[in-house]
Amino acid sequence: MSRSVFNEALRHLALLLILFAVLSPLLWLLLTAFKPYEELFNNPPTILPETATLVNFTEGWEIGGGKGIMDSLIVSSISTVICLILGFPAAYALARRFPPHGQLSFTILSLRMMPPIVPVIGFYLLFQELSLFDTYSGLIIVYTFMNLPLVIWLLAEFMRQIPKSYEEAARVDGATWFQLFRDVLLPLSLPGVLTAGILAMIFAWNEFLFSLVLTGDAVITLPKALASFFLFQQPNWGQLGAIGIVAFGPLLLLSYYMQRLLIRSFSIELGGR
Amino acid sequence: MASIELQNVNKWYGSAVHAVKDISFKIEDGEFFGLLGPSGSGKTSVLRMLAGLESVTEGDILFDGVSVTDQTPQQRNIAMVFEQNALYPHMTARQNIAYPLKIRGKSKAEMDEMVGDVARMLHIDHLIDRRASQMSGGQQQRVAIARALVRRPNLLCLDEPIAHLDTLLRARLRGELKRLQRSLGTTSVIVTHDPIEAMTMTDRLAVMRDGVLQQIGSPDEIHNRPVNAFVSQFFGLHSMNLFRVEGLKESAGKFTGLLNGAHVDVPRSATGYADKSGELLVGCRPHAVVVVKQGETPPPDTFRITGRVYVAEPLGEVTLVTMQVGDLTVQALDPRKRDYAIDEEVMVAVPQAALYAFDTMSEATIAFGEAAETLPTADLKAG
Repeated sequence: MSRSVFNEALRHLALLLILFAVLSPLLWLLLTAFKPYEELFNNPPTILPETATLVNFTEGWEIGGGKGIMDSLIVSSISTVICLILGFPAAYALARRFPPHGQLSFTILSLRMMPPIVPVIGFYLLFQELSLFDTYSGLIIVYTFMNLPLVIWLLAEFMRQIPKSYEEAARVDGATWFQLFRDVLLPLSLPGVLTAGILAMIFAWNEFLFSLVLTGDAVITLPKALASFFLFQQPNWGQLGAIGIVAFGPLLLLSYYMQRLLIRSFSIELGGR
Repeated sequence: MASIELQNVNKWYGSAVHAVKDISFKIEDGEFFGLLGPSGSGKTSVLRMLAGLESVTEGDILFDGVSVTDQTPQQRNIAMVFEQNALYPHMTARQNIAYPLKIRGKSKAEMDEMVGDVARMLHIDHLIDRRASQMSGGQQQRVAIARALVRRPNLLCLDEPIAHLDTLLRARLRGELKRLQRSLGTTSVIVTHDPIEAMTMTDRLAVMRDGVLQQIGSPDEIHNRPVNAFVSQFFGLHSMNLFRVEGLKESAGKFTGLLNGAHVDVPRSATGYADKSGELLVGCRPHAVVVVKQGETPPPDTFRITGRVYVAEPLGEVTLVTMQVGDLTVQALDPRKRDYAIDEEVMVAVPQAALYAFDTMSEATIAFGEAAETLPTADLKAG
C-alpha cells in the first residue's frame, strides 16, 4: 500500500519536473511580455511584473509583429486550403486505386522527407525568373509544395479506414462523383481533413527558411519578423515576448484541438455498430 | 422493373483470376432470383456486374433487351442492399432513405411522403430520426432495404442482406423480404451462401461453383433434380449422402457393387452404366435414410450398409442421426422418437426409389431418386 503511494508520488514528481522544464521558458516569455523595458534588467530579477503593461504588444505590433501575423495568416491559411482542395481527391485516388504501401505512396511521402534546404536554391532562381520572389503567391506555392505530400498521405491513410460500401451505396443511389465527395466522403473523413489541415497550418505558420530566402520587404511572415527583431536594433525582449506569445497562442489552441480530434478520429464509429 | 439477361458474361481480376466463366441466363420481369454458391464461387461478382459496380470483362448484360454493359449503376436505375456498413453513418434513417430522392431532385414534400410510405411498409417509422449507430443490425438492414425500395428501381440487388443477423431475425426478415418482393413485383436478385435463404425466398436460382454456373431452376427442381453431386450436396437443408460404390456388376436383374468391401444393391435406374465404368457415386437425402437398429428387420428392396452412430441430435419432431460407415459420414433424419447410443451399431437402409446416382469422374447425375418430396416443416425450424 505505502509502496504504491510512494511510487505514485515519485511518478508525479517526475512529471512535475518534466512539466517545469517544458513550461518554464514559455512562462518566462509570458511574464516578460508584460514587463516594461526597464524592469527586464532589474537585479535581482522580478518574477511577476511589478508594473504590468501592454505596451510591448502595441509596440511589437507596430514594428513588424502586426504585419508578420497578417502575412503569416494569409500565406499559411491559403496554402492550407489549397493543400486540402488538391489533397482530398489525390488522397482518394491513392487510397482506392493504389496499394497501401506501394511505390507511389512512398514517393509522395518521401517528398516531405527532403530537407527544405535542398530545393530552396532552386526555388530562389525559379522565383526570380517567374517574378514570384517576395510575393504572397510565391510563398503560398512553396508551402503547398511542402505540405501537400503530408496532407495526401494522412488523408489517404484515413480514407483507407472508410469501408468501400458507403461509396458503392452512394453510386448505386445515383450520386455523381461530386455528390459522392460532398455528401458521403467528406463528412466521413472530416476528422482526417481537419487533422491534416491543422498540421499543414502549423507547419506553414512556423516555417522560416523558405520565408527567409524567398521573400524580401514585401512579405514578412511572423518567424521572419521575429528574427528581424534581433537584426535592426538591440532586441527588445518585452516586444519579442509579446509577439512570441501572439505567434504561439493560436498554435497551442490548434494543437490542443487537434489532439482531441485525433483521439476522436481513431475511435470514430464508422461501422455504426 | 425489368427483365435481365446475361450473355456469355466473363469476369477477370487481373490476368490470373477468372472469377466468372461464360455465364448466360435470363431473369424474368418481377422475378425473385437467387445466386447461390460457396464463397469464391463468383456469385457476388455476378451481382456486382449486374449492379454496375464491377466492369464486365467480356459478354453483355441486357435490361429489357437493351445493353447496359457500359452503364453506371445510376443509369441502370438499380438499388442495392449491402451485406454490412450500408447506411451512411452521418445521416439519420430518414436522411439515408431520402438520399436517392434528394439526388434526383425531388421536392421536400414528395420526399417526406415517399419516405413515410416505405418506412411504414418496413415498420421503421419509429426509428426514422435515429442514426445507424443507434440502431440494431436488423433495424439497419431494414433501413437499407427501405432506401433501396423508396425509388422503384429496375432491379433490386441484395448482397447477403441478412447474413449477419441472428437466426430468429433472419427467419423473420426472410419472410418479410419475400412478401415485400411479391407485393411490389420488383425484379430482385439475392446473393447468398445459405441454401435455406435461396430455397425459401426465390422463384428461381442459379447455383455457382468456381465461377461456373452449375444449374438454374426453381428451388424444388434443384433440390429434387440436381445436375451433379456438388449441387446435390450444397443445396438443401442437409447435404446429400454420397457413397462411392466400386466393382459394379449386373446379373440376373440385380445390379450390385462393393462399398467398404460389402455387397450393396445399387440403383436400378443406373442400370447399364456398369458397362462404362466400374464405379458409381450413390446418393440419398437424409430424410430418405431409414436407420435400422440391431434386431430389427430392414425394409425390403433397399440399399443397405452397416455403420455406427457418431452422434444423434434431436431436432424436435425428427432426430438427426450422424453415422460413420467406414470413413464416410452418413446422415439420417429419423421421424421416430428413438434413443441412440454413441457407437451403437446400426444399419443404413435406403429405399431403391430414393437413390440418386452420379458419375464418379464428372460428378454428373446419372439417375434421380423418385421419392424426393418437399421437405418436412420440422427441418425449417431447425435451420
